[in-house]
Amino acid sequence: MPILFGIIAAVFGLALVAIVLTVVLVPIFRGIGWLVSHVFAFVGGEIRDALRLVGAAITAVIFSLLVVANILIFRWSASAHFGRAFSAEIGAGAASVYRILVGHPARLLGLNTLVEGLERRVPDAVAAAPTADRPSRRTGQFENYRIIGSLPGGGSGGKLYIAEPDDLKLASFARNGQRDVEQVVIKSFSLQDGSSLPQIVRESRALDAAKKLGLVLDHELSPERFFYVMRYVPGESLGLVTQHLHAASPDGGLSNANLGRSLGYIEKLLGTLSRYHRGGLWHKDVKPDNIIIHGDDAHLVDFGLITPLRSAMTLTTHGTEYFRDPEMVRMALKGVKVHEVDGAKFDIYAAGAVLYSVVENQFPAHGGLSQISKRCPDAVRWIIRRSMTEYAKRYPNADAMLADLEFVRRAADPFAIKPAELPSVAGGASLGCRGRAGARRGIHVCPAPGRGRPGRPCPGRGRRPRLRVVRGRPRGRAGRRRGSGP
Amino acid sequence: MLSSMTTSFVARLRANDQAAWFELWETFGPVVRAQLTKWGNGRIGAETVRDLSQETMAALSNSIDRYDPSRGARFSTWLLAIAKHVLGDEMDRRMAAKRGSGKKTATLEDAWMAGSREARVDDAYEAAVFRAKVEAAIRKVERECEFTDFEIFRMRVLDGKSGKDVADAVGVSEPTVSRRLAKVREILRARVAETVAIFSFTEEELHEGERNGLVQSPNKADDVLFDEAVAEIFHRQLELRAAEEAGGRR
Repeated sequence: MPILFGIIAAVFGLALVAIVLTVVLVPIFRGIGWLVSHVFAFVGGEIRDALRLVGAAITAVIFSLLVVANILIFRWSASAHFGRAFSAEIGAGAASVYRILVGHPARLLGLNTLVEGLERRVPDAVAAAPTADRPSRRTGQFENYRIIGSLPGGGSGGKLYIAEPDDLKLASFARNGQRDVEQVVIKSFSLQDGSSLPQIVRESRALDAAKKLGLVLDHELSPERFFYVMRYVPGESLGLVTQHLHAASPDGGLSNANLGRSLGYIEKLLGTLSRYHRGGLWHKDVKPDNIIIHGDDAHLVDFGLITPLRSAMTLTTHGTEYFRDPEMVRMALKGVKVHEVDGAKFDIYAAGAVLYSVVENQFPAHGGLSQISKRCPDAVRWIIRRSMTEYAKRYPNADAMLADLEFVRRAADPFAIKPAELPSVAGGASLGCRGRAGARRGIHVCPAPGRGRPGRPCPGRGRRPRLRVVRGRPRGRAGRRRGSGP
Repeated sequence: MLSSMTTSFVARLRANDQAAWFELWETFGPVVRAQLTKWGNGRIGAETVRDLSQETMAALSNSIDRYDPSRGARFSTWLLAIAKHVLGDEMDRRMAAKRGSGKKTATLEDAWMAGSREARVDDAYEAAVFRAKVEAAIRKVERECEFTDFEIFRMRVLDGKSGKDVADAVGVSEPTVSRRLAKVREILRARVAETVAIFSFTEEELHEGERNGLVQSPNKADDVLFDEAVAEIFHRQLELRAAEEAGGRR
């Protein structure tokens, strides 16, 4: 009997020891493992960057010698080439110094969020900084305009200047119904300044369309250059504003107030797109860096790619990666004509991608399959999905998407709204995905009576969203405007 | 022996069908970019990696006519060898062949056909290529299914929500959720098999789906395993893209 008790006690004792080992020792060992790997990552990073720094210093010395040597033999172009390479090495060296002194130690101490601004927002702001404030002597001056600044150049290759029109020009604008113009943006293309003929042709093609919407105040086309003039709106791009909003919100995503503001910007964007589409135009390059935020207003800018929806031309793959519908690329590669598709739907895809990037503070790198990991109402997730889904199943027009978004934004608690309650779903537009045949018939979707807001006219008819000023805008961290497919 | 679907896809590539090339780029671009970033070891930036991944596809298009299936290279090896060639070419250009020096850039050899010794295939890369195939299948299903059906699949399988939550969100009953989910699952099974078949050069590659839990025989227990495997593969692929995005920012 005592032996039996002894065995049972031993078994219990062993079990107890096993439990203690599991509960106490395993986490301790895990913690030690994490600490060791963290320290190794730090040491490894420091060594790597120290070696990179030495390598950059050696390479920079070589490049500086090449610069001098080429100056001595009057090879100016080669000298400038090696000068750029020298600058790149200095930049790489400086980045290594930063990582050695600040980046790696901060990560070792778990202060990743502390250096986020330095590593992400500062480079973005520097990359987006304007260029020279005066046009080059070769480009010449712009008659009746006084240049007062510049903006970063976009993917289109044009140069952008901020200018003030003189009294003569202001009177001319007033005669054409354009009042209250204070400052303008001049987008200039000059063959001598490196613009290419295709760029000029493309931009001038967009000109007629833009004039129809009253976006262009003035233009000039001469053998040397082409420029056009738009109103100027000061402000920051939605890309930068999004970063600020996320920095001012908790880690998990936008706060309620910032989410409401962001949705408001997208509402303005959709209102503008609706106006474009009703005017028979398709913007084709909707992205955060082409949306300027000024107060509570969002202004869609850069119409270098604007295309008439009824154009007889073949679709092109122009646009910006992540915000360009892959379906459009497929169609373009098959040689589909613009008038054979509904180009407005490609703008709707881009608007959904912009909404995604605002909520997530990331690009939709996964296209329509991009996951939404940040705090976001289910109904907004649905709106993003519906706008980025396959061409035929997408919102039929910008107004239908706008109606859904307004419904969520004006709800007392957007998080309480279920996708099934959205006007487009309650009205049967979503559940009755009509497929390609429906899309071809141009079915118009209205909120179901009684489920949308009472007394509201059917979206897509009669609403006149405001369209504000436009100015040319640059590429940003979103990547470059792509000229072609793979 | 190549499947008929692979043969027809390769034929489309050989015929310079731009849509086929785009499909290849869209499906495997992220994997190639991740591999180039890994090899670049911090020496090449995100923009360059993007350009290189496109150049990889251009190199593929130049070499497709010389592809000889009888030499037994895996599809993944084929892709990897070309990517390695393109990266080496870029490094040559940067390190030695400065413009005007007269040195030619690397020429593409046919070594990849028999599995290049230089382009070593690691498990992580193989897994990423397989996941890319599954992701391509999910994309096809998204295009093919009704919007609501796919959303039910997305919420239930990819987002891991309960059947009740999904039913509440979409405004249908739970049995309807199950029925629509089953419909999408059936289509996905077919598309996974089809996509794996298109992008496989060897028998071993053809059976990767089953080895990764994507069993084709439909029964209740297999359905759960299938869903879990799909979700796991999808989320791992998301991690790859997130890592690529983070790499681009550094």
